[in-house]
Formats: sequence, structure tokens, C-alpha cells
Amino acid sequence: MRAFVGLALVIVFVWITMLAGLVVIFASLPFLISTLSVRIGRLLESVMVAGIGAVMVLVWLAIWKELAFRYFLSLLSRRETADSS
Amino acid sequence: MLEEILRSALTLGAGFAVTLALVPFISSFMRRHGVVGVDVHKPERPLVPELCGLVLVLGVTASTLIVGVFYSEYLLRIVAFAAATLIVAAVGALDRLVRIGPKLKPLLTALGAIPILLLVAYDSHPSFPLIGGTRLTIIYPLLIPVALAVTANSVNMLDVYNGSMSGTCAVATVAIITCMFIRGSAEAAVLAAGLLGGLLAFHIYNRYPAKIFASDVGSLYVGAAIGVLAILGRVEVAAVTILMPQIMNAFYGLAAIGRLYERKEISARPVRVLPDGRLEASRDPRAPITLARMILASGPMREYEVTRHMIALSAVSAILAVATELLIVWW
Repeated sequence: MRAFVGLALVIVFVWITMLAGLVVIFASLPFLISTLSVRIGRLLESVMVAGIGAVMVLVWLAIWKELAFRYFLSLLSRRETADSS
Repeated sequence: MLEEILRSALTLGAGFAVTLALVPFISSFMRRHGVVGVDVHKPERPLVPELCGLVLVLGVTASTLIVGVFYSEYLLRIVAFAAATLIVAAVGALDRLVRIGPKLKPLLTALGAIPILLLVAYDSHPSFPLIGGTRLTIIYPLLIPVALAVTANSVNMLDVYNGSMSGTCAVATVAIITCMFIRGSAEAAVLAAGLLGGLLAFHIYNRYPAKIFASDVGSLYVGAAIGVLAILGRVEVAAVTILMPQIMNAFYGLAAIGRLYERKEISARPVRVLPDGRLEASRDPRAPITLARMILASGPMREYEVTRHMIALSAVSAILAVATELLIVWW
């Protein structure tokens, strides 16, 4: 039950941060488009925006992975301690 | 609305009936021809007919034909759905024959995007929660092959325990249908109902103790079907939320191993079977950290209990997905 609640909380956390990330990406788009389009053109602008989006997703995935792995290792060590005692 | 619900019920019934009727024939055919696999999560290691995901392919495709009768104006998108999912199912069947390998398989499953792109069966103006409608005319078509490869292979990687793929995907499909009705994509919801019918019938035989295995042909097909339905029904963000347990499982495995891998090539298994039949999380640091290993970290469980946990996590994701869709519609 403890593992289930933990994983469910991870899913909720990921969902909230996904929504927050989407808001940040799309809130920054008008600013990026207005400044980048003038300087580098439409195609490069799209590539740039996709790149920024991809980097944000990678950072989000890294945080997500770290959180879940740490939780898993703490559960496992807690069990090992309980088994040895 | 009532008409759409009745049509969905009919398509669900067709998918369910065809799949259920075909299982005995296909499973005995596979067993007769030696197409069997070892159920590794049981101490007695029974042999179970493989490639039975073929019944899902046939059952869901039969229900798709019925949707074509209801919505002739929607025919192009129905053809795109059938063609895309059948391409991915063919990749799954090919993998059973020639062993494609972990790197080539995602690339080949991405080929399922070709019919969607050729028939322009997508809308490059997706809506996001708290943001509203967007215009992604360049990026959206580029993301379709990636989306299909991710959904197909994520569902495939969770098809490890009896009933885990069919159970979690049935919950996911219920949520996707709900989201489609909220969005007003009734045609796509009727199409998805056929997939739900097939999954429910398949789950009867695939749940613990499994009498059939879907193999790659079934799991890749179901994953691709969910991906294509998300595109046709314009519920992309909700679909990402719905598939979180599958994506979590795939991503954790990849992050722990550091590359794409096949289950068979991993020497340190994530889970080991105890003599009493219960499953225990491996303490080997080389073993991939999968969703099942995480569930089992708090203590040993029966295989069906692990599957129940996975289905319950899918239900949590399903609730969040419906909330996502409501945020999009209300915003």
C-alpha cells in the first residue's frame, strides 16, 4: 500500500509539473516569436522553440527520474533494515 | 449524444464478441504449432500460447468496419486508424519471426505514422489546459511518429505480468473515451469503444493465471491504437496523462539501463519468484528499475496483486486525464 501511495503521488506530481511546464512554454512563446522571428526567420524560430521545449522536457524527466529512484531506494533500504532486525 | 453512446455500445459489443469468439481458435492453433512462451513469474513455469494478440487485431479491426458504416464522412480517418495500427501490428509479428532488436523496433513502429500523415488525419491545432488552442503546423506532424513509437513501445514494455497490459489499457481506453465525449469527438469515441471491447474480452483470458499471451503483435497494436486515437480524437495531453504508468515503466527501465533494451538480454531480472509463488523486488543494483520492482519494493506480493496495483495506478492517471480534459474545455 505504501508503494502504491508513493507512486500515485509521483504521478500527481508529474501531472502538476507537466501542466506548469506547458504553461511556462506557451507563455514564453509570444515573447520568443516576436524577438526571434525578426532576427532568424520562421523556420529557425520553430527549431529554436522546439529545442527549448525539448530541453525543458528533459529537465522535467530528469527531476521525475531522480524523485522516483530516490523513493524506490529508500523503500528498499527500509525493507533491508526491517529484514536484518 | 444518446445516439453516439448507443453506437459506442454496439462497437464495444462487436469488438468484444469477435475477440472472445476468436481466442479459442487462435490459442489452440498457436499451441498446436509450438508458438508458446514460458510464464516466468510462476514457480512451475507453464507454457502459454503466444502471438494471441492477433485476436485483438482482428476483433478491433472488425469493430472499425462497423464504425465505417456509421460515419461514412469520417472514412478517411477510420482508414488512417486501421492502416496505422495494422502496420504496427505487422512490426510486432515481424519481431516474433526475425527478432528486430531494441533499437530498430521503435523506428519501425514509427512507420505507423505514414497513413496518418499521408491522409492528413490530424489537426495541428491542439488545445492545452490553462492555455487553450495553439497552432503547431510545423512541429505537430513531426511529433506524430515519435508519439506512436512512444505509446506502442511503452505499452509493450508493461506487458510483463498476467493481465497487466490488457487491464491497464482497458482503464486507459475508458478514460480516453470519456475525454473524447467531453471534447465532442464522438466519432473517435465510437472507434475507441471497439478497442475497449477487444481489450475486455482479451483480459478474460490474459488475466491471472494467463491462458494466452498477447506478445508484441498485441501490445504494440494496442499502444499504437491508443496513440492514433489520441490524435484523431484531439485528446493528446489527456492521452499522455492516461499512459503515465506505462511511460513511467518504460522511462525508468531506460534510465536505469542507460539504453534501449530487450527483456531477454537483461541478465539481472528486476523481480524474482519466491518458492511460494510470490514475487519479490530484486536487490541487484544492475537490475532495471521497473514499475513492478517499485511496487514490490515494500514487500513480496502475488503476481495478480502487482497487476492490481498497476491497474489502480492507471485509474489514478485516468482521473487526472479527465481532469486535464475538463481544464481544457472549461478554460
